[in-house]
Amino acid sequence: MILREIFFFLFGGTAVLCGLFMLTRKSALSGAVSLVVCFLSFAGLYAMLDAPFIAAMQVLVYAGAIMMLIIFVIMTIDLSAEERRAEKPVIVGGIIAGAIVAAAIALYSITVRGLPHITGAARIDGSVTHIGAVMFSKHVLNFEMLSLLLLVALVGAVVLGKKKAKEG
Amino acid sequence: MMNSDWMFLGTTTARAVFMWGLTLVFILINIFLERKICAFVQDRVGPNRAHICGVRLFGFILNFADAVKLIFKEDILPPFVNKAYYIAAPAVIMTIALMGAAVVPFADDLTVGGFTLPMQALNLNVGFLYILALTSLSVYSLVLAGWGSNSKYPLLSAMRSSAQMISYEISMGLSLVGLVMVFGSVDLGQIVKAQGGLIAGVVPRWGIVVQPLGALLFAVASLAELNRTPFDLPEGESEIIGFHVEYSSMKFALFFMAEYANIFVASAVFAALFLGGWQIPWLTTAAIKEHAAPVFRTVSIVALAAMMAVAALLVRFYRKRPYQWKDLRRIEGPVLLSALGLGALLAVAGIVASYVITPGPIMAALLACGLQMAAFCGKSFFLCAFVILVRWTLPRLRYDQLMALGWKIMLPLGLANLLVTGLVLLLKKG
Repeated sequence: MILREIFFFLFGGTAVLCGLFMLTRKSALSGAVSLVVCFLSFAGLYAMLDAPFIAAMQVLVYAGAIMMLIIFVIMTIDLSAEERRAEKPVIVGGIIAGAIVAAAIALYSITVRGLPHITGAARIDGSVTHIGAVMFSKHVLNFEMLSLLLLVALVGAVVLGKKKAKEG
Repeated sequence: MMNSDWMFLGTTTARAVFMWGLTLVFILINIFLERKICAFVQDRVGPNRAHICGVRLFGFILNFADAVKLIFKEDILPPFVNKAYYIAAPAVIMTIALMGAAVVPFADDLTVGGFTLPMQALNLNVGFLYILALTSLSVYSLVLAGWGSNSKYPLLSAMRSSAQMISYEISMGLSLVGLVMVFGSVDLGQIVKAQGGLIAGVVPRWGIVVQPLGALLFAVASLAELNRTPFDLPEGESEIIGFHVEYSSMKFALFFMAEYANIFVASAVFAALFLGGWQIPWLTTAAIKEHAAPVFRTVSIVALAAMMAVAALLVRFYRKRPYQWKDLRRIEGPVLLSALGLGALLAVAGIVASYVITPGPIMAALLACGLQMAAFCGKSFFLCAFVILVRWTLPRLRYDQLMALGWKIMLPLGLANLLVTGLVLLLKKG
């Protein structure tokens, strides 16, 4: 299965490269866009792991909605002062060196041992139907608690927004 | 590589290329429709000059003149832009537009010699989530164009588009949940198959019949995601011109090609979800295969009648203007009429063939496939024309009206639709 290897290195390499870009770019928007591409590569990796639903959600929620909000905020506030202040830190060099070493180790281990595959009993159905069934039977309490948490966050956002509007 | 790998690559590529081709053809059709419908609404004639050897095809040829114009225009790269984003933006929007139609099924599964081929470029089991994901990505192109242009009007446009997209994406997703509950699948192929039945033996079980409110909400949200009037705030031709104001030549054209491709994708998705996709009402795949000869005969007769009607209209049109033109246009009538004559001959041959030849299973399967593709294309065409007609009919919403519609009307209605659908399904079950 050469196709699998090609796509793995394509998505994985893009993810690592864009992650580096996100850390090293001075412009906040460039960083955000790199993160979007990084998330998209993750989606590709999830799709290769037979988890199409998680891949779609990764694109829809992370790359789509959340990053869009972040970019919207970046465009709304003036970041030019921040950008001028930011100097290329020494840490960046360290991060790059670390990433190169990690990539080299990963490359070595993969070429020697081959790509890990999920087989046998560990392989479960990643379809929407199965995920829905599990989420609303086994994990229904967690699901409901998460919705409660989101509701609290929503109400909090509204309260904060109202307060700001009254002051302004 | 193993043999199955090659097989997978081959069939997938063929289906993907077909859907790409269809999207590209529909770009041309949509531009033509836009011009003609706009002219009709504004009581004008529309394009009637560009021609190839006198044949104008009612203005369709203008598309090619347009393409030549745009390709040969100077491609200006403004000195103040952020080059990477500026160049990436049109490529991103076009790529996403061409990917959209991949999950839409265009015919029933084709079974030839015990080998079943799904007529869908990409049969993911995440179905329409793929389309929602692509929609949420397409806004990045506008943002990149707006930011990369480094100019204030595009930036305004980018901010407007991101706010609009976030607001209407939620309604779009929500409007489909009811449909998914009714048909029990998110895969578009399964949803279209589930729409084949009849309610009370008369009405086709189409999405628009079982989920009328969902269809309305999805249609409005689609229009909003298409960035066309009444939701064209990001473009706003009369005020800010929009994200493509700094673009020229083919980069500019790519934005518009993507817009017309997106109209097709939205129409195809709406057709698949709410209008039965490739389903021909009251005519199942099995029925077509069983009665292949009579079905083919009926289709040929209908085609013959349609061509005769068009020919009669053409004759009437040209008789009103006898020898008025002193240029190549005077041969247009004879050329079009002889093309129609050729088509009529083929239809007659089809009628004769339906009596003479008994179609085998492969021919019957191909006939069913072809008819269903035609039904799907017809529905998409109708919806494209509708989307374009809406643009030339309605005025633009104000920003606050846009937000109020999205959050205060569409979202509660979507939730109500969900609740009612759930209740009805529960009562039906228990």
